[in-house]
Amino acid sequence: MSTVTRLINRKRVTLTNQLDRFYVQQLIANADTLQADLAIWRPLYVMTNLERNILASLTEDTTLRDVLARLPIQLTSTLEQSLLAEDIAAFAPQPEPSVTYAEYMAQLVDAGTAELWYRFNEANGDLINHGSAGTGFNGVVAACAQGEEGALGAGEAYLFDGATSVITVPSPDSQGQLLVGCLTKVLGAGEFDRGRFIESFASLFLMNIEITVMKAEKSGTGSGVNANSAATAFPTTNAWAWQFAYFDFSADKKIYLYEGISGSVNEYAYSTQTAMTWTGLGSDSALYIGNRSPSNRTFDGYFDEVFVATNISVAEAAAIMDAVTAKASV
Amino acid sequence: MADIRVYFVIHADTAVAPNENQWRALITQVKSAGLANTILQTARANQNLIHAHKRSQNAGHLNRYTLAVFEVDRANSAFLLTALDAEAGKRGVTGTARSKFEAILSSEIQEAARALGYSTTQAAKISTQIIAYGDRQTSIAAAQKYLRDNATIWYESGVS
Repeated sequence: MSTVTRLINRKRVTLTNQLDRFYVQQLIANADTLQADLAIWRPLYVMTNLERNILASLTEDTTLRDVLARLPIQLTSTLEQSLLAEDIAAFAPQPEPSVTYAEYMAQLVDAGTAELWYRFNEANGDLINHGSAGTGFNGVVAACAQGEEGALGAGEAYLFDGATSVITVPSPDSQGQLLVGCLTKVLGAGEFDRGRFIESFASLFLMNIEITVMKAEKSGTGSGVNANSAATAFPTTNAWAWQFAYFDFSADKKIYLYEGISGSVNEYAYSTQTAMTWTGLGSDSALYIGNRSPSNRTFDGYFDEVFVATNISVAEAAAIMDAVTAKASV
Repeated sequence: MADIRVYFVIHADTAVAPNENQWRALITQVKSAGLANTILQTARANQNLIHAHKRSQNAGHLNRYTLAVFEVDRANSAFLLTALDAEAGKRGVTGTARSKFEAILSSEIQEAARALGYSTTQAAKISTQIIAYGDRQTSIAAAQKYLRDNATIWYESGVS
C-alpha cells in the first residue's frame, strides 16, 4: 500500500472540509502522474486563489509530500493542520536500518550478487568458507598463517608469505560483469615482485601488484587482445585497504581499478587501459587467491576479505564499493 | 604464538626429476617417516601450517625442486627439538639443530623414494636443504631472498 493510499485511509483526513477532502483524494488518486495532472488541476474553478497560487508555485521537482504538506494545511483549521502534519510525518519515508558489513555482504550473497565471499575467519584447517555459513564454494588453503589480526577483528586474517601461500577456490559462473574486491594489507611487492591478489587458471581474470603498479588483466575466447589496465601507482602498503577491479563485457570492455581507504573510494590513474577485443568470455574451473597456478606469484601481506560480485552494472558496482569501504571502515 | 618457521627445498637431480604426481606420492610417503611425521603432527596439533606444493618452473629445472614450509608454536619447539635429537641419536647425526633437520629430512626423503621403487642410486640424488629457519618474519624474509637469488631455478623465462 502506498503512502498516499494509507494517508487517505486515515480518518483524520476526513476532518478537512468537503472541498479539501475532494482535493486531497484527487491528489492521491493521481499521485503517480501528479505533475501531468497539475496542468489539468490548475483551471479548476472550485479552487480558491490560494490553492491556485500554491499549485502554480509547484515545480517538476515538487514531490507529493510537498503538496500534501503545503496545500491542504493552508486550507484547514489549526487542529486539522496539526493532525495532517502528524499523518505526513508518520508516513514519511524512513531511513534504511543500518546494517553491518557482514549483514550487507550476506544480503549480496543471498541475492546471488556476490558469487564468492571469503572472510578469512577460519583459525585453522585446510578449508576456507564462502559466505557466513559455508557452502559448496569453499576453497582450499595452503601455506597461509591463519588466525592473524585483521582489519575487521582479531583472528580474521591470513598471512601470505610472498613465497608459497595460496588459496584455491572455484571460479565465478558469470564473467560478463565482474567486481572483485580484496581487503588486504600489502607488505611488499610479493614473489618475483609480481604478487597476485587473485588470478584464474587461464588468466581469465587477475589482479596483480607489481613493484611499481597496480595491474589487472582479463582474457577471453575467440580472437583478440586482453583487457589490460595498469595504474601509475602502487597500492597502499602497510595499511588495510580495499582493492577493486570492475569489468563489463557488455560496455567498453575495460578494467577499472579502485582503492578504498579511509572511508572513500578512489580510482587509480592509468598508464595503460586497453579494451578487450576477444569475442567470447570463456570460463574457468579455479580461481587462485594470493597467487596463481603454479604458485609462483605469491602475495606478500594479509587478506581479510575477498568477494566477487557478478551481473552488476557500473552504478551497482560503485554502490557496493562505497558500501563496503564505509562499512568495513579501513 | 606460532612463530617458528622453517623453509626447506627438496632437490631431485635431473636423472630422477619426479613429475607432479610422483612428487605428491613422495611427499605422502615421507609423511609417515619419524621426524617428518613428528613435524607434521606438531604443526597440525598446533593448528599451524605445513605444505610442500611449490615446484620449480624454469624450463631448465622444471619440477626438480620443491619448496616446503612448516611452522610450529615456539612453546612447542622444545618437544620438536627433543624428537629431533632422538632421531639424530638413532642415525648418528650431530651438529646444530638446523643441520640435524637437514640431514635427517634428506635421509627420510631418500628412504621414502626407495619405498616407492627408486633405486638406491636414484634415491641418493634426492636431497634436502634448509633455506630459512627461525622466527616467522625472519624466515619469510630469508625465503623471499632465496627465491630472488635463485630466480633462474624457480621462474619461467619471460616475466608476466
